[in-house]
Amino acid sequence: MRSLDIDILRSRYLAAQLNGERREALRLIVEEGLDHGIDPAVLRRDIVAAAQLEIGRLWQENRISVADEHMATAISQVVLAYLYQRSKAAKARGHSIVVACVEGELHDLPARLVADALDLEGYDVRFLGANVPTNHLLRALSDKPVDLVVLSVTISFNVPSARAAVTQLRAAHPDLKIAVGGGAARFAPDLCRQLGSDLVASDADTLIAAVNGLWSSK
Amino acid sequence: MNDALIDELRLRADRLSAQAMDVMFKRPFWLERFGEHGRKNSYQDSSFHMAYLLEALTSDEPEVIRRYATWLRGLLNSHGMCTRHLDDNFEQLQAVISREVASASAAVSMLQEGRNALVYAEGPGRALQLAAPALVRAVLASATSLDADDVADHLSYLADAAELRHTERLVKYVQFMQGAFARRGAAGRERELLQAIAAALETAAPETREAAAKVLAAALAEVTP
Repeated sequence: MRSLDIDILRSRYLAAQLNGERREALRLIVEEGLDHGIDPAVLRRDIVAAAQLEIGRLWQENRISVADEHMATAISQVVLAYLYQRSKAAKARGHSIVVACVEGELHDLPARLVADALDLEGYDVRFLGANVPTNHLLRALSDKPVDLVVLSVTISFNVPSARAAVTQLRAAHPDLKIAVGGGAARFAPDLCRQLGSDLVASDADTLIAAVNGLWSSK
Repeated sequence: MNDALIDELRLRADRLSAQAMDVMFKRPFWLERFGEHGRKNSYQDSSFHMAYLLEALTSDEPEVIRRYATWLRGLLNSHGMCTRHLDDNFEQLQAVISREVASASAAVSMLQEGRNALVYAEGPGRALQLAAPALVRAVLASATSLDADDVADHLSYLADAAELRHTERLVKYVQFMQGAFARRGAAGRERELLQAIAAALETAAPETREAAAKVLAAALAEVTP
């Protein structure tokens, strides 16, 4: 599909979201997307994730309300679940990952996108969702250790929570790999150094490539 | 290096941010324009400023507060405020922190980084921002009944409109101020203020006059019978 067609599909998808038309949004993804041969990964990135950035911009410009933003996001949650079901997973890679939004971070769609993508890449992924208290995150890891934790931070206000999470994770699990992802990485330069994490990325594709690179030579 | 300062600011953040807002809310403009709901949001915003200040100090990274300031300016503009309102808030925080906290120069400097980031890098908005102090003095010298904060706010709204190249928010502000002056028994004050700004601009540098021309015309159109 040409990039113009993707742009048009995204505009129509966004319009359906903002009108609260869940069925229409899903219809667009299925009939205009998947049935036209567009890969689910492209739909996740270039339609759902891109529309979400636009929703954030519209909210910032006071052109949509918080309620509108929540409604639109809820529609994308349904669509992501559908796309996950329709996606083919890669062979198991033998590494386990926890994906969690740091304490206070309520924006879980970006983390969901990453969790789904990593799962489909063949990793064993546990997605803990939004606003995970740091002590509960530690408890989750002590119950069932993992190879990598991905901490999601969308707004830079939550960087202190990310710092606390990284510090406490390191103290409890010195060999654990820690990645920090999300919009906050665009906000704070040199976030990796500041937080002491192993990886930082502001978008899903970069994060996934970096995660794949962690074990590719082993 | 700033650990003791950061600890103290963290401990006193709510009180310091509230003190800064108390000073700002002495101006009747704030409640008039934004009401109690706006007051609650403003006090919350002030505590967010402290959170970002602490993060910038903790990571020793001025870019954190610079990006916060420019991002927030866009958000506040869309809610009917001008750049000067945010700058004023940061300035009040600097004053409160300098007064109440010992050895706070690092915090004051970091807030200054945020304030500096609010000056547009280039364009008509920048020209108007840089000319604003002199224009305020010229306006007040010619029209002694005008309030300095009102004049400075108008110039900031003009600068923002010039930079964004649209006058929708400026027009809404002018319409509000017309009503506000009328309620205070000073009908016609808005026209007087805008005309005083127009007169001051006549002796300003050509780039400043050019930067203001279109946006000022839009504002004057609202008050001209």
